[in-house]
Amino acid sequence: MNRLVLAGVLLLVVLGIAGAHLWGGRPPSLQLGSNADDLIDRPGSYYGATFDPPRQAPDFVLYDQYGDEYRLHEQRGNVVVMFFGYTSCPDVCPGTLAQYRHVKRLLQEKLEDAADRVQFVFVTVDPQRDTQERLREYISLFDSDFKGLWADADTLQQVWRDYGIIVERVDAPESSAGYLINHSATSYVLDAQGNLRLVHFYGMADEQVAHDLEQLILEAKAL
Amino acid sequence: MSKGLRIAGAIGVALAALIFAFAVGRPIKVLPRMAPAPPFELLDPWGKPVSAPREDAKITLYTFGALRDDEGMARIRAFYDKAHRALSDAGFADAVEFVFITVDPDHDDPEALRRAIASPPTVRSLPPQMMPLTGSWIAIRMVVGTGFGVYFQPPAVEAHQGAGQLAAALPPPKYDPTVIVVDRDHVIRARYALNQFDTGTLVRDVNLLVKEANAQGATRWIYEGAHLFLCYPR
Repeated sequence: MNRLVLAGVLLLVVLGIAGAHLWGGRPPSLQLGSNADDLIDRPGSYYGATFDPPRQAPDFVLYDQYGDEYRLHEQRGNVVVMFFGYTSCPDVCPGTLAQYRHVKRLLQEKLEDAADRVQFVFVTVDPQRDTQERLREYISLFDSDFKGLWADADTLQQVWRDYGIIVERVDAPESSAGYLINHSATSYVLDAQGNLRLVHFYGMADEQVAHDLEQLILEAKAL
Repeated sequence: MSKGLRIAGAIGVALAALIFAFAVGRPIKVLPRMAPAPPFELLDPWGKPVSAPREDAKITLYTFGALRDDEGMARIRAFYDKAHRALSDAGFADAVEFVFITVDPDHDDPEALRRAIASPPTVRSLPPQMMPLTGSWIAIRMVVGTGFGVYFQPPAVEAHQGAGQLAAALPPPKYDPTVIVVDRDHVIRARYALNQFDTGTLVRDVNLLVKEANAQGATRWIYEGAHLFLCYPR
């Protein structure tokens, strides 16, 4: 009998939820980006969101972790993958750089000269703490060939603005870091002509990122 | 069966019946939480950064357009006039703010936006109560296209430059005239095609958002239940 009562209650709850979904239909949602899992390997197909039409990426001059000037327009000929982050970041930034390291390995398995054709770039959003030395140490934990870029706050602010990067400092007195920074977690991909071509969203699979970069390398080779 | 168990069973059945009635009868309606609105930092007509989300945000009606698209701007002005009047009549004038984000940032820089709100009402002007925003072309594409999911197609700069045209002389981008309603928590709650917009739906939707935002205590939970059971207006 007890079980019958319980079953009756459960049945009514289930009927309620089912009724709501039958009457109301599915909740509407927005279809954002293009991350189709069934994307096939063909030229011109990408897992990342595309910039259509592509356009020259805003140029900048920053400094790398070795103190050398880094001029974006001088990187033409390479595919450039650009991420904005900071070395005290607890989650997204190390995750993204670790992904880049794996993606580079995946590309090297497919293309012999991949390492020479792709450049992974990390632009700091924390000029106060991310000095050249700190960036050098941090980047070397992942791959010393990656570029860790820095400059004074004013120069970086213009770069963030040009690339639509949100940078918001959040005080965290309970953390030894003192403050954290909320920032955009997307990666931009530039083709070998310096055009902004793709946006990769945080959480994309390594294989998907590698696929997109391979497409752009092959495109550059075909030119 | 003991008396206590019978009472508990009866309460359970009553509760379940209530949930069923709530789900089917939908006495409280809510607008769906469609997606988080994109966080952004854009520039106002004075070149100052304006960011979202903000703690003091109101319900915001976002429209998108290009100042030199006369037809589109006329549509936006007409939308504003009708929407503002209807919301004022319903007592919601202070609950809502209007934001215009340009899809033509090469042309609509802060100075152009300033001119648009300062000029007397013409086809290319914006109502002074509407906050116009601009930014870099990447920021605009990320906010409008990727973030809000509004279709827009900028002209191919290089193709036109090949024909000797400057970027400023390019045609304005093609775009989908849309109104997006964002609540105080920076969540997209409704979107309308601008050319099929009707004030009755807008007032109804703003009314639902205001009631939901004002819900406190137990009522708050009832609203959450309404979301769970998809109690959306038809």
